[in-house]
Amino acid sequence: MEALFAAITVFGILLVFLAAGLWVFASIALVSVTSLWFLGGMDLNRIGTIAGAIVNRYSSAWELSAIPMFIWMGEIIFRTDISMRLFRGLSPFVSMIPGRLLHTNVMGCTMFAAVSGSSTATTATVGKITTRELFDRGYDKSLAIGSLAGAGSLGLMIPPSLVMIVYGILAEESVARLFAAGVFPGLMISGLFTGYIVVRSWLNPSLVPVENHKYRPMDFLRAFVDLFPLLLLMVVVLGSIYSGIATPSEAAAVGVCMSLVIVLVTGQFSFTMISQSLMGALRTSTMICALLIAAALLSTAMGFLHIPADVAAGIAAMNLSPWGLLLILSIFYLGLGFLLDGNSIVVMSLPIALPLIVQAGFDPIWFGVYLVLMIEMAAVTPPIGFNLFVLQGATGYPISKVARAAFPFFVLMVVGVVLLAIFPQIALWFPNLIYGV
Amino acid sequence: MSRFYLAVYRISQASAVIAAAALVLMVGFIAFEIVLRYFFSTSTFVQDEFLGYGLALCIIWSLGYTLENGSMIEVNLLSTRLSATHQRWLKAIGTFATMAVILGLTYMFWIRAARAWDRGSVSATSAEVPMWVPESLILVGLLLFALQLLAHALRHVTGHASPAPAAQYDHHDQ
Repeated sequence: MEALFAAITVFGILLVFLAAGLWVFASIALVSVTSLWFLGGMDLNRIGTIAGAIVNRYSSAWELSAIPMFIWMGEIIFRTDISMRLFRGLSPFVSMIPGRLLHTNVMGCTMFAAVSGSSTATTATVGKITTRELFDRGYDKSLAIGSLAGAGSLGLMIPPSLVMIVYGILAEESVARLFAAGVFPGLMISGLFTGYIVVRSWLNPSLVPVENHKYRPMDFLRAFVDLFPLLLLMVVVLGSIYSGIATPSEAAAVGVCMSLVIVLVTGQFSFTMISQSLMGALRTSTMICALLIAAALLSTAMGFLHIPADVAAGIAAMNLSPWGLLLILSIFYLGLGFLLDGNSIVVMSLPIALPLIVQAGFDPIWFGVYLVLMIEMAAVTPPIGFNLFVLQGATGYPISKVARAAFPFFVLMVVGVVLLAIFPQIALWFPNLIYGV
Repeated sequence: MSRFYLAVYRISQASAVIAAAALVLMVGFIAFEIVLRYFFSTSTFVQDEFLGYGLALCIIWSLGYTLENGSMIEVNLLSTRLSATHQRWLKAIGTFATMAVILGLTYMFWIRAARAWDRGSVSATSAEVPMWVPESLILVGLLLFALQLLAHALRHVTGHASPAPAAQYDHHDQ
């Protein structure tokens, strides 16, 4: 009962701080300090010593340097003509599939996700051109918006993924292994979205306008030239990680250098663009790393209060089956997803959820992929759904309409979670193949 | 007071520029290390250590800039239902509380840096960096952040607008 009281008090205080409109990182830091002070009975000097050691450890953790570098790479590419290149490059290839250009959303997001670690960046980059083009050509608006909202979230799953780096650091799991584990679940979700668009377009042809444009072989060649810079970046970044040549941090640095070469070769280099991308990268990476450091403090505070161990013992006493536990956690994460963003969900829940899941016999790498998929759903659920915000800004539609359009894709992600739970090898076979069991 | 807010924001901007330079250097350092490793079969042997220092500079020195530009995530579900005055006061109190924690941390880093100076501690690598240097970098960064928090809190008390350009939209929020 004491652990339950402590856990409820900690989360109660956290909710008060969050509800008061305080920044998430500050709320987590304040709740950690107050919990250690009031519940743990520690003096401020000792709390300060613990906090100092954590800030020093996490702000200087070289493994984390992949975060600002991957973000900078994405910021550079975002500021190029990549959106137009993706649309032009994919158009001939998708013209033969039912649903035609609607697939530029899903395939564009799948490809851009391989050079970006963020869902909002993926949604914004691909949506910059596709929403306007699809609307103008008479494609079904709801399907266009929904597919973009859903597919944009692939930025979180398909490596490089920022949230996977955060998970890897907090769970002390290999980021390279997590990156490998995200590939096939990402492609599975992408496949589900593509299949849904095909079936909808086949059942209701009025969703797609009639187009008689015939593509010639030269068009396919031009399309390949358009896609080449992105393909090159994908091969360099992911290839260097999976071949074992580079660590994720080194691959991120190589990715930055390669994106600089791309902007130079394509004549898009300017100092304004580089400085804007740099400052943008700094803001985002500082926000994520501040959250991560605060979360490490919360995790330590909870450890001192024995909350994870006691809650784990309490759950064990309930004799829940692993599936029962997973179901409860899934409902819990869906609930959090309505209110919080992905990084906040990971850093706040992990100190309690991870020991429970490991104790229940689940693989922590698999759980990382599962968690990312739950967070992908959070990105398309109101009232806090970052992909919905991006599309609200891009289309001018109210958030409720965007959320309704995204709902079928949310359901498809639920199907993806169920498949991942039943067949964990979807995530695990590839990392096991590359790095061994 | 507007001058004070602007001056503090300019300091935050300047420290963010230094943080950005650290990020560029981190990329350059890794590129140099890769060239050394693959073309000359050698290494600096201090990549991880210096990446750590670079990251600390990158994160801690840009905290104030990130905060004042509105890039730190917050959940405004309940506070937005309050009147503008109540919201401002709530924000000011929360910011003062955050500042207290950051000042406490700054004090701890003062102790850590002073101890490293007294003992002459150096890093356990071939670079043998005096440990008071990285500890002091974090100390200064935290102090600059506390200053920005003070300006932010006072700005909410006095009802001044932010000197930062209109909240910039970041595409990497999630």
